[in-house]
Amino acid sequence: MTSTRDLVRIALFAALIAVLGLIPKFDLPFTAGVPITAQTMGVMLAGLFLGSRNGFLAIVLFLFVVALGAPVLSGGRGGLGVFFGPTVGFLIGWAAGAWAVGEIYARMKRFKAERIFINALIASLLGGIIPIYVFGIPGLSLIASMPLEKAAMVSLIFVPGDVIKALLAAWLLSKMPQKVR
Amino acid sequence: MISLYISGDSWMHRQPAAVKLLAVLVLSITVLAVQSLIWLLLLLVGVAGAYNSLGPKGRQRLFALRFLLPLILGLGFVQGFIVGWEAALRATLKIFVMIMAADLVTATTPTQAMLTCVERLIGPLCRCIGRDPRKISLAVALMIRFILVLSAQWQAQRDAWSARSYHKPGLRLLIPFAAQALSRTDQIAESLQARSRAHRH
Repeated sequence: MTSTRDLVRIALFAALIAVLGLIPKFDLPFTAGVPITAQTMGVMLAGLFLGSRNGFLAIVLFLFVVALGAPVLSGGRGGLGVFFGPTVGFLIGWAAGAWAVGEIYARMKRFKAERIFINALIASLLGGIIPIYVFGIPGLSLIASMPLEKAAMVSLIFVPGDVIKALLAAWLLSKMPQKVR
Repeated sequence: MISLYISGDSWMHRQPAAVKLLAVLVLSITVLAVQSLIWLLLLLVGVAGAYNSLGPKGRQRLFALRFLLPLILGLGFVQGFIVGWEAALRATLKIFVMIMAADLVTATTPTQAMLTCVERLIGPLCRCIGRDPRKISLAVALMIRFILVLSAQWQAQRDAWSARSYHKPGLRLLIPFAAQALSRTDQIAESLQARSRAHRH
């Protein structure tokens, strides 16, 4: 059951991801379109702060509102059309990623609770990067009818940016006052 | 809240959301199956024509989709080398047709109509598993409200920082921002719960 508090937090993180989309993205010139944006950091934050279930729901809510027609995807994109485009796999990966980040972080906490930054970093790196590409690359390959290796080549250039985001997300969590985490 | 809906009164605007969604579904299955370039070109022309029928705003919207061009043409180009030009053209046309058709639904369906449509579709399912479908609308409304609140909060905190410091705020501001945002959710959750209890009595 989703308590009111959970619902409000889920809505907050979904909104956060939307707001992160307003931060202008860097465009590596030859990659026009496969978006790597501050929004991916929101995915990690959702998993870290809300846990796997609610983090997942936050992403689902976000994607739902995008589908309804809100231009909250980075670059002011949105609407149903996005889900038929080449980046749809990555969007699904976001939901999986938030869930994975939550799960990994929960496990790491059980293992060694004090090392918040390290736990969060590992969760963000593993959960926040791998699932996104696991869904994104095949998605790209399928929609654009591109062989997997080419889709992978085109997509994996963004990983260094993701690592920076993971660092940032973990740092942010580690700086939160106790009661808020 | 800004949305991708274009107001108007075209024949498409008058169709219920469910019909349009179904049409997109049918179209996607069709496009998947169609291999003939001629048919795909006709579909593309058809969809572009549909945009045109929305009037000047429709044409503007079609033009706005040009941001897709570099990506899709780029992909098409890369594919041209790998699988041949015909296959690349076919794939590119398919993507264009589908994205545009789906976008047309967004352009001609107000956000609230979409939401109502989804609620009606998912309602029975939700009630089956014991969840309240109205929570979806609440979640959407909260999210939209929060977007405004968060933007305002960020702006306010930036201004407060700038009033006190010569340096640019930078990333450190994220800490109080996140902390305040999170504690705010608890306040809001409490007041929501208080209100729902009040309604019940």
